[in-house]
Amino acid sequence: MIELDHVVKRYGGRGAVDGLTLDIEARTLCTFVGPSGCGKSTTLRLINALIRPDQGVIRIDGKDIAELKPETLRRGIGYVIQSIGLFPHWNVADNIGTVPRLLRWPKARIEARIDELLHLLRLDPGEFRTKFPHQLSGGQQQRVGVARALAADPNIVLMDEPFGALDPPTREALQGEIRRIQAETKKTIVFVTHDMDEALRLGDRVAVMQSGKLVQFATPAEILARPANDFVRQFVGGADMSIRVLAVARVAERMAPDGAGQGQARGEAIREDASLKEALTMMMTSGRDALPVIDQEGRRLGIIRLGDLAHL
Amino acid sequence: MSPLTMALALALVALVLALPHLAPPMHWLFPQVERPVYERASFVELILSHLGLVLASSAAAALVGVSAGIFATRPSGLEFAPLINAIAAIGQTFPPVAVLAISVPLLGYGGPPTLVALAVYAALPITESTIAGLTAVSRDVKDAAEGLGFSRLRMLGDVELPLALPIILTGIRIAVIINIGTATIGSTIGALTLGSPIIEGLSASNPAYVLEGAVVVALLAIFVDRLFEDGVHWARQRSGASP
Repeated sequence: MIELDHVVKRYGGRGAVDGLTLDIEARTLCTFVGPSGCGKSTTLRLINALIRPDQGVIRIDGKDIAELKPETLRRGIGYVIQSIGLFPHWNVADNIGTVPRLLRWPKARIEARIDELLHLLRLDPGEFRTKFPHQLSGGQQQRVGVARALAADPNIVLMDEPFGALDPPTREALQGEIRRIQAETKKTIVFVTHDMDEALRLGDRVAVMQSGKLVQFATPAEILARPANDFVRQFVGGADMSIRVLAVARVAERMAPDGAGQGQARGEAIREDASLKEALTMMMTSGRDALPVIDQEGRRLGIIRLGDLAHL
Repeated sequence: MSPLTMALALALVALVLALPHLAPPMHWLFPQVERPVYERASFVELILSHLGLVLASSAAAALVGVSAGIFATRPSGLEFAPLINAIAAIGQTFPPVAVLAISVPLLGYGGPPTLVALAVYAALPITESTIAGLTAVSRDVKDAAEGLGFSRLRMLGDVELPLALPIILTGIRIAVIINIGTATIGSTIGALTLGSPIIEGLSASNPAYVLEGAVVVALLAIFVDRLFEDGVHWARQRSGASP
């Protein structure tokens, strides 16, 4: 667990982070969102001691990070940045193996770990191991950036607008990867973004910040249903809010189990972990008003109807 | 080594070995000169002594220049950076001959003052290029390195210096090429260099000596320059700057 306890960081008299207190649960994905200069990136850099707070305490698993050697702390925390920052003079394998080398892992273990991570990020080791950063596309570079951050199997990964510079399809693909990797590896991920859609789509919990202060810290559904104030309401997009709910809520939350007198649905089924937006799209393109719902293994679970999507 | 560099090396060796046997054609070129081939010292001896001076002074200059450049780009040395930069820039406006002249009253005549003068002068472009190279390392890469847990020393050795190497090498190249030329003037204060036949040829009105010394030193400078071209190319590839 990461605890921030009345943390203050001032730049030129102005509080970049102004009395921030919140707990980030272990093994969850927490997104920080807010406009430029709201203190979200500063908060991230406080957690791995790239900057030091003027006041307050930051604890990781109960330990005050001010008492740790910064290098030791950082080698235990994955770090991904928007500009990626791959080492241009090292190939992909050497880039991914950076932190294990700093930690003096045996060579064979590092090599095995590099292959494992390339597989996890869906990059073919045979093709990519020996490539240099300048030979990769932006999306591939950031996949390597994420692999590098995960290399030493840290419990915590910090991501500072990691997909901000990527084109929308690549960004969506990588958001999917992050969800999948978080589900598979159960890391604690702290993800900073200025994009509310991204924050709502990825976060188990979303921290909305404004002028160095925490405005709301809640689940995406909660934020959409009960924005804490006008700032949050405006930030989540006023009139588009109900559409956003569709993108955030899952089919599993709205479906009815079979045999509950809901009738039958035929045709192509939708997975329970799909979003309501995907369900609506499928209904519209196939001209049906109900879809069968299946689980990840393809077992039939129940039914979702057009009417189930509408009540908020 | 590229084929061109290799060819230049062979041409240089061949010329130095052939010079003692070139009296007949030199006679034909300079009929008025009695002894047209420089014989006070062999050209092998001259080129080795010349190269010795250049290598020793450049090595010392590289050590001092790179250290000064590293110091000026560390947090503790940052406030000295403008001063160090100014010294390096202003120092290079002095002609190398002047530096050589200043060192005589301090160190006397012969090899040592030449060595010191060359080293001092060469340290300036190397310092300047080291500062430029280290400053040019991308902020993003350094940010990533710091965030991943590099210590300052490892960041310098594993990330900053390899990425700055092409620019640092460019500075060392300038220094070495200037030194090859300037070392010839060292013969005016008694050092044994490829300048010895030139100086003697000038004072004794023997254009054959001047030509021999000049051609060999020019060929040496071109060869070493090509050698650096190959080195910079290699360093650029390694730093991922070009495919």
